[in-house]
Amino acid sequence: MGSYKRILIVEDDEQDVSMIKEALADIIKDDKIDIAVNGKEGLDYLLQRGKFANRENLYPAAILLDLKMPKMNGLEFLKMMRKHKELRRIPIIVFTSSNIEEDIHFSYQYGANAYVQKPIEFEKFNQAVKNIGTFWLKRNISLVI
Amino acid sequence: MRLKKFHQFLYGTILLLCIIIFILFLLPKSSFTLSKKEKAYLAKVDKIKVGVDYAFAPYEFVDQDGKVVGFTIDLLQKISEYFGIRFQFIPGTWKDCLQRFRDGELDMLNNVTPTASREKYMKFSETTNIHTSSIYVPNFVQSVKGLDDLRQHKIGMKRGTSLLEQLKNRSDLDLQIISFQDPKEMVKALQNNEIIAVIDYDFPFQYVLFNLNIQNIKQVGSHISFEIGTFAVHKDDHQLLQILNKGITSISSEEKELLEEKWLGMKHHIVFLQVIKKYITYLIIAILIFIIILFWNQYLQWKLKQKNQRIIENEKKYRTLFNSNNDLIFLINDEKIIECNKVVFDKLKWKEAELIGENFDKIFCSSEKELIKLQINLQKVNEYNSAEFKSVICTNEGDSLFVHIDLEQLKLAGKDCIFVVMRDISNYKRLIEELRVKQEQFSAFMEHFPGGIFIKDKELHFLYLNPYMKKIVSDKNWFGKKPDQLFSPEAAMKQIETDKLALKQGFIKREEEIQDQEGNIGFYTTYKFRTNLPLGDILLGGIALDITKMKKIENKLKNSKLQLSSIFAAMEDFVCEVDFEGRYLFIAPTNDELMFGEKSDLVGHTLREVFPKDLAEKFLQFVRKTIQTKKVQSIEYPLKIENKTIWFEGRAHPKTENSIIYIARDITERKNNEKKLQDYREHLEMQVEARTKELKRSQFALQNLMEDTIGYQKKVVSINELLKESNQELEAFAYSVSHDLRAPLRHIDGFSKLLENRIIADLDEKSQNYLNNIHESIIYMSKLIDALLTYSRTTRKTIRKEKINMGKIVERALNLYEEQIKEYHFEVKKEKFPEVFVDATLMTQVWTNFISNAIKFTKEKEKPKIVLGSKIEKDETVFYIKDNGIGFQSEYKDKIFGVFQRLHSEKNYTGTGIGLANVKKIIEKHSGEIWTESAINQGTAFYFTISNL
Repeated sequence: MGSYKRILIVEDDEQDVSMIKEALADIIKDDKIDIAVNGKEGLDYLLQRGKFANRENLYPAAILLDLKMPKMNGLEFLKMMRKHKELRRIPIIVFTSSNIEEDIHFSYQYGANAYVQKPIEFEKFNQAVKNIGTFWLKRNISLVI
Repeated sequence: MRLKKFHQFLYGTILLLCIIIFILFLLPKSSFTLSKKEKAYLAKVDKIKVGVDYAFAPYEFVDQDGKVVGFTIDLLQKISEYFGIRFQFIPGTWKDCLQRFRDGELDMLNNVTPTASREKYMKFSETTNIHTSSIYVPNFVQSVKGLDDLRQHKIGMKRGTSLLEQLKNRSDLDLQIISFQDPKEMVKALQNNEIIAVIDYDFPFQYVLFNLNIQNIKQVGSHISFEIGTFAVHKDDHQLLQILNKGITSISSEEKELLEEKWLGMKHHIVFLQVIKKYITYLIIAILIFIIILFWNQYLQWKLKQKNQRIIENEKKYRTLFNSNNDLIFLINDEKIIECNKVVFDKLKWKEAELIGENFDKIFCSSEKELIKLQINLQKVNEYNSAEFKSVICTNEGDSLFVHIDLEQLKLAGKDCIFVVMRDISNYKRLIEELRVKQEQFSAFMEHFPGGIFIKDKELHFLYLNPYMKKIVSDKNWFGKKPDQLFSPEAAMKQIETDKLALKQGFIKREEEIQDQEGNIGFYTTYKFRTNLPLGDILLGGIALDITKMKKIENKLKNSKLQLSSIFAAMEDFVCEVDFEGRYLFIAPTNDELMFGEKSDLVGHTLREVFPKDLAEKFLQFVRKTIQTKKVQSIEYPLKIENKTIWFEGRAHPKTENSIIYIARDITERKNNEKKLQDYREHLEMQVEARTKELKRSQFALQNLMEDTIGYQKKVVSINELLKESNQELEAFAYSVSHDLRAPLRHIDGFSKLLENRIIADLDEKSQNYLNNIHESIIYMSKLIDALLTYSRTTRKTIRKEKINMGKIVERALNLYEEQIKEYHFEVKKEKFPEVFVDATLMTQVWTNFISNAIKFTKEKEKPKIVLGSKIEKDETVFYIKDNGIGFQSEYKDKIFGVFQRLHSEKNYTGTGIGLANVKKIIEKHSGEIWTESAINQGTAFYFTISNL
């Protein structure tokens, strides 16, 4: 699979998703963003299964990953993904509410490229997402409008 | 045999010579071969078309039968034979042939003389023949002698020839040439005087004249010209030209001469001479061979004679050997006896007539076993040419002889004969048998001899070992080895020494220590003796008897004697042996003090003689009882020795049927002790009784106490479990808080801000304030959550202690508030701090909290002051921080450490209300105590303790 001029957000919280999209609005077009609501769906997306069976045969440029999710949480998703020969090359940014040591430790251990805590204040949140967007997403692709 | 070989050699030589001669004949014929290219050319071209002048006899012409023949035709045929070329001869007039050749219908022409005009389209081969030409006139013409005489005359010539061309160009002659197709017509014209002369090639024209039987025409003058004849091919036909050239050179001069003789009537004497020469050479060779054979034959005859002489001598030798031999010798054929020596008749008592011609098995004692043996061996001879076996044969008188039989296959006069030699081994057999018996006896003796036997030569090499000795030596390859190769160096040296002594003295007896290969040491009595053999040789014989066991017993005995005497010496008891009559038999050398009288007074005397009567009777009875019952008896009694009463305990052991061993021990002291003990025991028993009663009472009390304790323990366990559960719940709760509580806050802030962005233009100041309030609440809530998380984490966290100076930690915490300290002009007094063993991170939190609290509640004062310090006590150090801030009522001093406990409103003093709770937790984790002292507007002091290093 070649590179894909899209990004994947693995996130169960709809409101967070809409806030992320809002923050990214200046950087990445809305229709270039794909959403998976948990780790399981995230894997389905990457391996073109289930709901995503008919997806275009390309990998996303980067993945924004929440940790606390139903069915399959972010750490499990990371662990599974990094076992895969090709998938392990996709950059992953963990974006989560948690700031406990264990989560940070295991995220990096399982191969996350960055760990960013979701700030509660809107301005900080917005800035964090924009930073991620510019640095991680834009450097790989030209998803820019 | 030799003659036969010679014949083979002779035939071989003759055959070889024949082959050489044959090759000599063949050799010139195949001197040229064709190259690959040429072969390929021939394979491509099926036939070579040759134009033939039908009337150029004898070179080429069509004969009366219509066949193309002639000299050059024969040449071509020879070439055809060599190389397998197929020529197709196409006859025609010469002119016609030339034309057809130029048209390409023909491949080659014969008898062509090279001229300048022809060279334009032809190539010429080597010369095949030479054409001479002359002037021919009728016999009557006398005036014509040469060409000059023919000036302005009519002459006849053959049409199309090079000769014609040549003469036409001679303008000086001015000849009137009339050309003819047919030489016959030309002859006719000459006879009819139509022409004055004919100029033509000699052989062809003469051939015509000869054939027409014309004699009135003559040849005049010398030859007009010499022209060479060649084969002509097309200019570009190099391959054919080369083939033809090779053909021409391949034809030998002899062959060519033969052809010339055939066709041109030329006589070549040289040919004849050469042939003769050749045959003479062959003849000489043949003669030489004959002579060689003759000489060879003579030589062989001489050799044969010599050989015969030798054979006769050999025959004589053989006869002598045959008859004088002590063995029985037979010559048999087809199992029949052909011949045998005199010994046979002497030994077997048969007469000659009774044996010769008879079956060979006659002399075998018709025993089936022997006959089968014979048959098997006869078979063997057939296969392997020789055999040998042992058997029994019988004499005519019925005696049997043991014989060793050798069979050897012999071919005599074309017959397969067997040469039989029998050696009488009856005596030998008997001797062997005797020897065997002796050997067996000897071996059996040696085998069963209960000791080692060995024989060495005078250099001390081992020559014989009996099995017993072999075990001692234990090296399997003992034969021929010297002692130093078989035993340890010391043992070997000793052995060699005694060996040499034995050889010198003739006999020696020694006790030797021999160590075998496994390291076991054995003791042997060895006898060594010199043995002189009849032939003067000297051997050393030896016998080694194992006395290891004896030695061991001896040692044991020695040891036990020693033991006994030392035991006796160490004993304090009196030991003696007494017989049935009460007589002292033996007194052990032990304690003399216990002896009732002198030792010499006792041994040999009876009890009755030593002791008073009643005592003696008592002892005697005791002795006899022991002997009769055969059981150990004991007795206690006092004796007065040297005015002291000594108590004895005596024990008697039966020794033999008639005596006992008696052992008496001084038990005076024991007797005394026993008495004391008895008194003491009685006293003790009374005491114990009293104590037991006391004990019973306190035991009852203890039991009650125990039961209570167990009940408490159970309670503690269940409380611990509850605690564990609640800890786990707290952990889950903390994790949830970090995620689930933060998310809605984030959303509220996010969406309210988004909303604000959308409607900001329409917002009035109040709405803006509301939104700000929402935002601030959210910030405060998030701080609360974080603080709560920190607190719960502190609770759960295991502390990692390290050795560190507390002052360093305090400094670190102060640095965080440097700006505020400067801003509000704080006076900070930092006293001395000791080294402590604490979790540095957590301790930093403690001080940070204290300092931030102190700043928070003091900064409004006029001269804010903070004092940090420590006071080292016996087991612990008290650390403190004091400020001169707003303080609080001392009744709240315990409440202040609770979670979310605030004494001041959030509005005036920001904070989460968790900091001190956290601090308390950390101090408790370090097993310390924390307390506070404060009064309103007097300032606050916090204290905590950390145990000393």
